[in-house]
Amino acid sequence: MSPVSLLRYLFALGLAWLVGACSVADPGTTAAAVVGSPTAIASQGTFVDVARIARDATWAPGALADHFGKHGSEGPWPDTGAYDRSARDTIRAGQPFTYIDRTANVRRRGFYDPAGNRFTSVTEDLRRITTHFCPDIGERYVVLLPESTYRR
Amino acid sequence: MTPDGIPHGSHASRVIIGDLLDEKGIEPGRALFLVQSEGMILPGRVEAVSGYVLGRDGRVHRWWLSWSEPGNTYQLSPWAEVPDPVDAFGGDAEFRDAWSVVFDGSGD
Repeated sequence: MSPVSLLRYLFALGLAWLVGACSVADPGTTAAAVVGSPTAIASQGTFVDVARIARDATWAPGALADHFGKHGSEGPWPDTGAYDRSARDTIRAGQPFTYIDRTANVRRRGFYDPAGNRFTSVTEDLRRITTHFCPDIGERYVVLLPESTYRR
Repeated sequence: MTPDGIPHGSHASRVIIGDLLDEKGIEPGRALFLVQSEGMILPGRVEAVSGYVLGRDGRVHRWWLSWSEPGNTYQLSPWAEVPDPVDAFGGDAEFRDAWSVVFDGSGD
């Protein structure tokens, strides 16, 4: 490494320390994207901007009503609005991790709130909330998901 | 619920979903996207699954693999067509992948 490269590296390291970045960001996720909003660090060491995901992720057409219809009785959710808020609260409060959906065979980002036994999943591009429910077997469900990075 | 609450692998679910899509008239060459295992175990240790299917005619339906107590069989319910799918899903990477599979390659 040349002296100039070394200086650049040290400067970037210092800047990261100053803004509170304590881990490696996702490729394409700049430090600026996570500064100023609550963040969490997933088990695999990448930043997850939970506030942004909780605010911006959407349900695909028809999915919120369908999921509320199937999972709505699992929690204290009187309507789709309460169910949706719980899904987003779980993103904010839960522990982020990644796993492979066993049917889709694609990677998903999961969020699990052990205190409330609530699980929310979003697509890897963070655009869609794909489900929200209370696993029958609690924390074991997220631990046993294929390639789960969830840690107790 | 199974003793350990863990379903069989994905193969059984996918076979059942494929058979039910055939019954719905969604011809092979289709592609599934935004597929999600739902944590509920159906008879036969098959996990409930939700998702969408893009057909060769460009139409998209949303579906949910569930169990019909009266019929004592698997079903896709709810089942509904999504209008304007390109507008609805154009920003979804998984939809674009499904589109490539159906119109540029081989569907499942």
